[in-house]
Amino acid sequence: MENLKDGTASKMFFFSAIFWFCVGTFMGFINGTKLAAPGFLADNPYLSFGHLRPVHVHIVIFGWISMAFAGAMCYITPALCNTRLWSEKLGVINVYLWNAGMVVLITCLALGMTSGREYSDMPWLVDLYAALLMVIPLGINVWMTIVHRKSKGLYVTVWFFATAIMMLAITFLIGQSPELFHLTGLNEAYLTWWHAHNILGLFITPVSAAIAYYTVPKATGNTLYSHRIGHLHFWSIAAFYSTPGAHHLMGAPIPEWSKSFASVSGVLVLVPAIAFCANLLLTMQGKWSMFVTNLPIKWTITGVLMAVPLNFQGGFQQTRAINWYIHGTHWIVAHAHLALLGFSTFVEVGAIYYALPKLLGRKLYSEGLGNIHFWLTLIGFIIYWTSMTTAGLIQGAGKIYEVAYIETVSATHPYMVARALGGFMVFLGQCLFLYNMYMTATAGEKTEEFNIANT
Amino acid sequence: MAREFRNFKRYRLGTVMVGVVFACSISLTIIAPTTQMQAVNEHPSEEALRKVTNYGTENGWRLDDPFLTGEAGAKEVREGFEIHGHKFSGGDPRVAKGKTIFIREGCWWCHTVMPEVTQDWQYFGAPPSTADFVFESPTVIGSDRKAPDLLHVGSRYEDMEDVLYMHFWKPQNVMEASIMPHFNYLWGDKDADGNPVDLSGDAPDPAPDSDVVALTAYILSLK
Repeated sequence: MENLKDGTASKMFFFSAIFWFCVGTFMGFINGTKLAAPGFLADNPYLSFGHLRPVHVHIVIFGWISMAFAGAMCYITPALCNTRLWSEKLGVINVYLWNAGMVVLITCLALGMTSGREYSDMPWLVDLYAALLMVIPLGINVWMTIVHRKSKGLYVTVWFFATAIMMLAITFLIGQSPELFHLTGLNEAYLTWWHAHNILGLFITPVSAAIAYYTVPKATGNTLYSHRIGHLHFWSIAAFYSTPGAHHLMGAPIPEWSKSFASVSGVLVLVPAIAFCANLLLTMQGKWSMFVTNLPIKWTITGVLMAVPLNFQGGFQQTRAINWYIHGTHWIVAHAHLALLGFSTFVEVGAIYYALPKLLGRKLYSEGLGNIHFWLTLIGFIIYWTSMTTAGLIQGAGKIYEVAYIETVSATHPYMVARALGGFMVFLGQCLFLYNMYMTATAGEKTEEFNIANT
Repeated sequence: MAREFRNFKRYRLGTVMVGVVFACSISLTIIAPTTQMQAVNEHPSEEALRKVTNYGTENGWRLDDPFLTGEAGAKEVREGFEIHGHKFSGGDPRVAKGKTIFIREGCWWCHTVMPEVTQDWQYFGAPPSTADFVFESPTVIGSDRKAPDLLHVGSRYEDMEDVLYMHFWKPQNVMEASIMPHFNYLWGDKDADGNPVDLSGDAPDPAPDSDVVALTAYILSLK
């Protein structure tokens, strides 16, 4: 443990993340199959849909997305601060603690040990473990690296990393307050959804954006189009990304003014969103051919392009005029996957294709497999998203016109089959991803050994 | 240390501003609505009192019932309990256990327990009021509706335990196009007559202490 090479923690975080991505998408495929064929794996209580749905959600959020974030933070922060990671040892310990936490979390949820609150399903003991032993050590490492930096200024990416970990820790602990302090009634529901909204809005979205702010200029060699637009993005996230939390409860009897307030500030989320997309797409000027030829750029820019429909959906679907139609339908599930599997995942995979070969000191084993991975994931996702959005509109119509509920179930069934198919393609793509990266580590053509100067 | 301090100082204003902006932003959306809803907590509706008398203090994960068997909640209801100074007694312990099983089995991932304020009146019945949730934890209102809303299901299926048993045993027997998985494992090992439960046969009468009896009691208590 004493003589750890630079980049060890980052490398381990990335490989763990890819592994959990395979497991998480497999769980998604299983759940999709269950909705198409309800008897599938239903005999065992621990494999029942109600147990495996949160398992899928938590593996992709905490295992894949968050660990890929952690890997990117351990790689990008030192690179931008022109120094080494504050403690490689702490980083490696953090990887082990994180993976151990994943095993505990999956076991709990599969056994049905749940708090019964969406996105904060874990028992509060596991929540405290996640906050204190998974998130805070990562935060300390990132913050201390920034404090010990050798560069003068801080780049946009670093502002987001440093702030997002703090916001995550605060959001996460406030989100657990109903459990820790036994809050009851609609306050419990409200804080649960406030947490669910902000875990995405204050952690996943800004960190994904921060990673894209690094990958695109780095891979293209262009400077960021506008530092000032970066400021606009950053400050608008800090100021009003947390305010629309109540829009998840538009159908619930919470105070009416809070719904109106949430709706209006929800539309304001378009400010950071458009600032971000415009800034990165304009950074591509003169380098658009790389969108076809360069794997990291292909993934990252596809992710950024998916953020455009994502944010227009997000901004408008929560207004009263639209929400009454699509609330609680498959449309929302499609939207959630557009955010996590479309935008966030594509940006992270781009960063991994950029950073992991450098960390390993080897060339990517196969560009061809990387391209197959891209198309399987993209086409699989589009099949998934289109079928779920359509199913959501059918459910919405069924809800508004008050048709017998079972008719909606029958009408949406073909789309559940398509969803499982799309999910399988995504899963298959990630298996290729893991294989490609494993082969890169073991059989890739050797290049320069990783050091902080060649990030 | 000196360099580190200078490094921090250069961004002191930015760091302070992030703190101020974020603190203002989150307190606006946390303090105002929760204070308003806390005022409602002083005036629970009759429905809220009826519900919580049957539910106990907590139906999600708790230290004295880590595997969500529902026994801890049932014990509270049987013996009487207290929330924020209000005393409750005389509830149905099967309902407390049933609600915990409803949470453990993840029924709420498909069934909402809250007709929406904006529609649903005709089909699923009247939406609840804020005061109907006082003392309840967790509220399990659900978010992703892939199955009928259950808030008033007890009125639709009054005294129809047998239909619900058939439904839990194999939902497709009752509703052919249903995509609900079967829950025959909730019968446990022995049926009402003490015979081993045969999962390949028809639904036997469940033993009175089985999970399915508790879950059905909870479902029928939703009126």
